[in-house]
Amino acid sequence: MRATLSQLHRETRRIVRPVIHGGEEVVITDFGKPVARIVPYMPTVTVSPSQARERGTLDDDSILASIIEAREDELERLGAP
Amino acid sequence: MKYYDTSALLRAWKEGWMPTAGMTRSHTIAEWISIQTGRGLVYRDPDGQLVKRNLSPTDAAREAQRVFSGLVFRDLSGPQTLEAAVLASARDGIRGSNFHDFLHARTAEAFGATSIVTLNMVDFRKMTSLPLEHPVQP
Repeated sequence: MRATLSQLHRETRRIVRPVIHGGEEVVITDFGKPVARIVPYMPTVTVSPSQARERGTLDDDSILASIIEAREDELERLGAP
Repeated sequence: MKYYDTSALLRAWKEGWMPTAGMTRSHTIAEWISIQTGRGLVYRDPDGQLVKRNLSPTDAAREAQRVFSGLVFRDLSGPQTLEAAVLASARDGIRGSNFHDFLHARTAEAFGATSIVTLNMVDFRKMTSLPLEHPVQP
């Protein structure tokens, strides 16, 4: 995905969201030339239920943050033009 | 009968247990599946690394059937939900995504729950006088 610097400024969430939640990369262009790349810091990995449950810890704040952010995503989708 | 919210049922799933009795809203399934198959959850691996993991839709559906199997579903009607919106409007801080939690609380009250099982003590404390419980294996 490509976006101009102006688009990034105006529509930050729309452009950055696929990077954070979809694992995509975004190349930022300025004056038609690539000037920066936004890449996922922590890509989402699809695993089996047992791998998810048995490996690692999951703290309460992480669960609550996921719920709040999922709801906000939904609100944003509903409000999207 | 205890009322389980989405956070409690995600915690139960992670710990490998499921409620043997209790109630929740049908919408809790939507939230549970949406999180598990969408943005996922952030785990801390034994080496301290943070990893975001989600499930395939097939696995999530199977796991949800297991986790929700002991619960009965209780839902507010349209008019009851509109009434909840009026009640929420009269209270501070119940807006945006928080309204979902208010609907959990209203459902628990409307259907005579004895307590709400949740990780979100801070917000629910402002929404209901029902006792709040941290999810622990029955």
